[in-house]
Amino acid sequence: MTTQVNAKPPSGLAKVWPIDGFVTFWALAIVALLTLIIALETATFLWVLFLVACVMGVAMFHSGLGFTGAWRNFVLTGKATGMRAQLLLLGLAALIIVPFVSGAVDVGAAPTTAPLGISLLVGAFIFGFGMQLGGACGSGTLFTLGSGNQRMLVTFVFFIVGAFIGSMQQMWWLALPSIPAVLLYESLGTVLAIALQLAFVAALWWWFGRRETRLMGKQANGLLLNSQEPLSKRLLLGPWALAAAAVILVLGNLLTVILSGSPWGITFAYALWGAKVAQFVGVDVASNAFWITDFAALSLQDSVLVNVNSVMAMGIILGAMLAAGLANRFAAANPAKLPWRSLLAAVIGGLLMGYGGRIGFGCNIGALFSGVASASLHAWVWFALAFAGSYVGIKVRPWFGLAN
Amino acid sequence: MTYSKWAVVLASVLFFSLVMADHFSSETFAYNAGKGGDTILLRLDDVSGGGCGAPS
Repeated sequence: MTTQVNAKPPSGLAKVWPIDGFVTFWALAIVALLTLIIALETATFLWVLFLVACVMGVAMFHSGLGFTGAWRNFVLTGKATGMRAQLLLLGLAALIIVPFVSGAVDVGAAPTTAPLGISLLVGAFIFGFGMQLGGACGSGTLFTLGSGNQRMLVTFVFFIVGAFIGSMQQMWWLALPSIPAVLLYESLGTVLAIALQLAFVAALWWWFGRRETRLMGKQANGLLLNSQEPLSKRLLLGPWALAAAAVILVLGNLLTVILSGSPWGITFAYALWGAKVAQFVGVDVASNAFWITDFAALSLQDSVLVNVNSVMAMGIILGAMLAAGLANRFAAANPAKLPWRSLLAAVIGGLLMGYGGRIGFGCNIGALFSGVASASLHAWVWFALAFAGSYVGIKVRPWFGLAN
Repeated sequence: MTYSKWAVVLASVLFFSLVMADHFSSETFAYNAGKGGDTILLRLDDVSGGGCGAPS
């Protein structure tokens, strides 16, 4: 049964607020059911984080806060609105979350960090390249999928496959030359670590603006909205300001740190889901060098409902689905027909993001956002290499018929 | 814009079935059923910092 949404002209309340009742009801039902099951079967902090992630999914859908399109816009046109939104996100993370991860505010949290080596460099580059073919980053894949995007389903599935393959080879990559992880607060102290990261964010802010002015003649704003619509209407229908979404994501990540003991991550969940499916079909996952490490081994034999990354990923998908239903924009971005070259790009992009995300220790969220929130140097190295990979990916997009 | 309601229902049921099948075969479910089980929830301090960082 294929439904033609908006087939007849809306009337009355539907005219003011043309909700997609089916998608809204379905999303609410799954959110309620999963919340109940997580609450009954696991622990309080997990159902709270599930609902927090739902809100983050709503915020990402309504603001469009992502990395892939923003990087492409900046490279191709110089427009830096999206880049500034990311810098706001990173700056707030450095300012607000680092004290909790460093122990200055003791909540018993551990940082997200990684060694600086070939694994990080190659992984980040591959991930950035894959982003431009897949059409989204780690978080973008989740909220775009939740909003009913068919192409993103392909990217998502192959993201999982790539992440699983990457996890099976991760220890080989880790054995390649590297220097140990650098946590800035360990050598500089928390205050200086925050100041150094804020200075770097400010320098990038200035440079992005300078390039934007040179290429476009002026600097666009765009972080705040100048809308006359009532707040209640905008909350339900969107759009939301990029700055508001950045604040919500930072608060969400902070809650993740406080409640779960680690910053937010995504790609481990993809690897875990892939590993569970592979194990189910007979692949010997449990004896792999990565999957015998403490956290991975425990996660593999336990429920996805006790894995924070998984629970939050589900929350983001469902939050975006709910937002799309309420705004009557579910599946709105689907073309009538998906060209095979575009699907091939989604397959390659998904595989590369998954593989690169694992050997590069995460995506834009786990490696960059949470890395900066941990004052870990690997986050900034990841940013540079992923951007370089993305630059090459942008050049390759036309080969697959993808518009630049 | 068009989408199939059946596809949405099918995808949701498939997603939910996979999650529940995984949960019913997990250590946490065994623990909740009083059959022991080395649930990750009992060892949160040991595994804090896992996830997207490098494995310890």
